[in-house]
Amino acid sequence: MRALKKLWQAVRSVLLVIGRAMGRINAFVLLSFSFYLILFPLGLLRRLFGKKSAAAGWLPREPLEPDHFKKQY
Amino acid sequence: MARILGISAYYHDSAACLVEDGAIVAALQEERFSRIKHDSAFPSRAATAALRIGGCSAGQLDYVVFYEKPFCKLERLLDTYMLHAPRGISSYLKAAPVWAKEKIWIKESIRKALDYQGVILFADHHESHAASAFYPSPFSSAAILTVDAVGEWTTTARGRGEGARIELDSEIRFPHSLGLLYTTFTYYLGFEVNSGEYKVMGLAPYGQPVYEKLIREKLIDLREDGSFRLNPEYFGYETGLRMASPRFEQLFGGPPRRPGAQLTQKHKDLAASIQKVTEDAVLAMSVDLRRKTGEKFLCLAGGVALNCVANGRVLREAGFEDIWTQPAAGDAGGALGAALAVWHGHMGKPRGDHVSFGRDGQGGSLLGAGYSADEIRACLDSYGARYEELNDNALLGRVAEALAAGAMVGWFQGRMEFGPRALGARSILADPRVPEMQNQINARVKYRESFRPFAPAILEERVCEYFELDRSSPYMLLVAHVREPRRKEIPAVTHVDGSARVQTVGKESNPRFHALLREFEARTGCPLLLNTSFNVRGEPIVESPEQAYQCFMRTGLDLLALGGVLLEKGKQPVGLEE
Repeated sequence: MRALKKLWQAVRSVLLVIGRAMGRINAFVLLSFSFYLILFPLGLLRRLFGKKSAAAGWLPREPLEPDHFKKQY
Repeated sequence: MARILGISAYYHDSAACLVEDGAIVAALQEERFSRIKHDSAFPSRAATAALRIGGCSAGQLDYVVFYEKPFCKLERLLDTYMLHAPRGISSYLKAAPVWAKEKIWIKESIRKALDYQGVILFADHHESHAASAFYPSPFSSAAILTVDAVGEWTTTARGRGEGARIELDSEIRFPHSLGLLYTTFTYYLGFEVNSGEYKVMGLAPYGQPVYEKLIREKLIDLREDGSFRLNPEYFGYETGLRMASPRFEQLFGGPPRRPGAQLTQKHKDLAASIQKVTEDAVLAMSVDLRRKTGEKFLCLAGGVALNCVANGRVLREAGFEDIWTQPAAGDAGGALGAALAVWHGHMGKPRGDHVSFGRDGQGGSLLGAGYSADEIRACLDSYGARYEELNDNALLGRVAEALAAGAMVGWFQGRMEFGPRALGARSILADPRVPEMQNQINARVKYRESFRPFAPAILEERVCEYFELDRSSPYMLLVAHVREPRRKEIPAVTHVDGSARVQTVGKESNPRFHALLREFEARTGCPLLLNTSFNVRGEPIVESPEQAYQCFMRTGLDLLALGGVLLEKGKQPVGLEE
């Protein structure tokens, strides 16, 4: 019984390592896709339609709405 | 009674602040509990301590308020990536998982960490800074200037406050940021980003601003009204994982200094140059704001407002009658500002009595946890420490005597400071008249860079005699020159350029520390002490008696005054050093 438990623990730790590695690869692949297939084309379009770097200097600050505290944006 | 808990987190210096009926009851930084300097994690322990100090539970809170608007910040990040794609992939791969896992779930984090089911609000980052500067200030109306690295989009905001109303009417937006410019030089000079900026400030007087012209020509277009434009080609922070771009390194003739490598005259000159440019920018903004608002007073906040050399110049040269800077001007103070913004801005409540008395509402910034005599005794007994319990007079006399004899003393009294400066609650004290004291403290206690100066804490009523300063500076946020004839008298707190980061100690705001200064003066004729934070290099300031005792035993401190208890190093049991 004890030997089985030890064997299971060893298998489990190997599976965890593999799982973590797969998670990292998945995240890397998915995020890379989202960057190159969504953000990059959208950015290109925005640049084509005239979106440039942020303006510098003092800019008028829009007053916050009275109930803005309730919003996360 | 209305209770509001302010929270700042997830960038650096996370903190929690409890406000009850508009009064600041408690404000604490998470780093003091987690022992991770500038800890950005959710401030669970700081919030728990704040509720304990306020004698309430999370269920009794009316509001919890987060200090910024996370979705606006996310918008800025995505917008920036879109603007620069395909550049920025490495930064995106690093930032996106953190946002997905943590930063867009602020409400859930608050509910889970505090077991809180009530209303959660969100302030604007610079509104939080402005509120932290204006509401606790002693002014009924004032101009307000907030300058930091970046909030949601804003990097600098200005406006005015009157009564309970704050109006910020103009701003400078990312990527044009004075804070990020200074931080880029901090990085280039080999110091830690968002942490080593005050080291750059301390290094500056050793150099000459020989690169000022180059910085103004290539990096920043500074205009007369204090507004500015950074040249993005020289910076890497928009899309990369580094603050400076290769072009920046090319401009200054090489790669960044490696941390710990020797500081050359070039490094000192670079520090002097960026310090000069920053001072000029803050000064120009302040002068323009005074002209624009016609206000007599100025309130400052944001990380750049911790630059006490720049604050000193603003006080002397901007034409305001007085200025008030939030002692926790960085993001920690955002927790305090957000809570006050809800009380006044959301709930529409008027300012407190402190304004009518011409006092500030910050309570000496002693807003952290305090420990009872029983708690201190229990802690020391658990270590088998040997100590004496003394009455106030005896304790003050013994400590003053030891200081006059050249001892280095750990001073742990009352409630902890909120903000980066030790103000006489968690301090290391020493005799400022001893020329070698700076080296001794660096070598035996603090283990920090030798170029960094130590600050003086002086009896408020005696400040004019020693410094070119005609008012109080209770939060160590002003740099003033030591009067020429006094410089030789207090060498350990006089910086290389004859300046000092002054703390004035008032009888009302910190009576025990004031009494100690009086005792020291009675023995030596000198009404000031060297005051530095109670910690060693790389660690946050000690928070509890246990941390204080451990720091005392690990370092070359001679004496430790913990409340009414006095410990001498030579009498401690052998083997407790580790």
